[in-house]
Amino acid sequence: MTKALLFAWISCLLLPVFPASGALLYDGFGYTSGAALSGQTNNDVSPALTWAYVGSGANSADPKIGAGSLS
Amino acid sequence: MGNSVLTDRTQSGVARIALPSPQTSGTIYYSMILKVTDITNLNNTTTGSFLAGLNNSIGAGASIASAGAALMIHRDANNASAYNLGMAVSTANADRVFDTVAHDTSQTLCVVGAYQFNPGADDDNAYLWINPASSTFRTNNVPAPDVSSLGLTSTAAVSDIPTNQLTSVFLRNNGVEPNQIQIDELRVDTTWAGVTGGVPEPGSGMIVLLAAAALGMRRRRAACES
Repeated sequence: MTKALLFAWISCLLLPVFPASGALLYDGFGYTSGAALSGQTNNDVSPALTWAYVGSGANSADPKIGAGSLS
Repeated sequence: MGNSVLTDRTQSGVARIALPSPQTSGTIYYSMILKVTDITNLNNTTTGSFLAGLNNSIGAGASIASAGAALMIHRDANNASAYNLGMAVSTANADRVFDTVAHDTSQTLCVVGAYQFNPGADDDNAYLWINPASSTFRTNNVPAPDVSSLGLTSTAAVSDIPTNQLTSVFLRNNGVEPNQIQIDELRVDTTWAGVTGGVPEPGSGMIVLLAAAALGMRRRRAACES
């Protein structure tokens, strides 16, 4: 446990030194199953971004969150 | 553990999320893990439908007026229980180009799409890779695409994205799609490496994740990672 805390502390110190790497945008869809995707806030990016709904009229729901991952 | 996204062909709505900054040049890639879990009602064998892509607007709206690097799907013409994926630099039917490899509901695919800005009019391109070689992951060795939708060679009036910018990525329900498609691990980046296993941007949970890694917990697999 001590090593883990030390590792986290060192990592915290290094974060401002190394620029963010990886994708501009990443979403692993760790949201509540059954909810609409629109309205979900992606905290995997900084600053956090929220999925917006695009549609109108009847039968115009957007994709939903399903249980389980493909990864 | 994360969940995933499910499409529904009985609905027609779209969800889109803004990119951290507008993209106006170069090549913009996106990747996802995709599985068609119920192919029922996928009947179109020609122009198909687009289920995802890049967009030039952000926030709520009434409709997706345009799309760049639209990820296409239609039923395989020779196998009613299989589908083909495709790519379109715009949503115009003339820009829709499909792969000929048949896929079925048993397969989970790594899909990479890309939109390439070019300086002239009607000359932007879009590309699709399906299960690209894992040896290219996390590198900038971009393999040859499986599908190319080229603005200059299409007969569409205008293939370039209107306003010449990409500001969001979207996932779409549509009645031409199969009953259900499952999507996970969405990434957008300006590099191939960034969408094939790159590390997500550090967020507020980064420190917790690092501590968990130090404790020996199993690292979650990245998108399109072998």
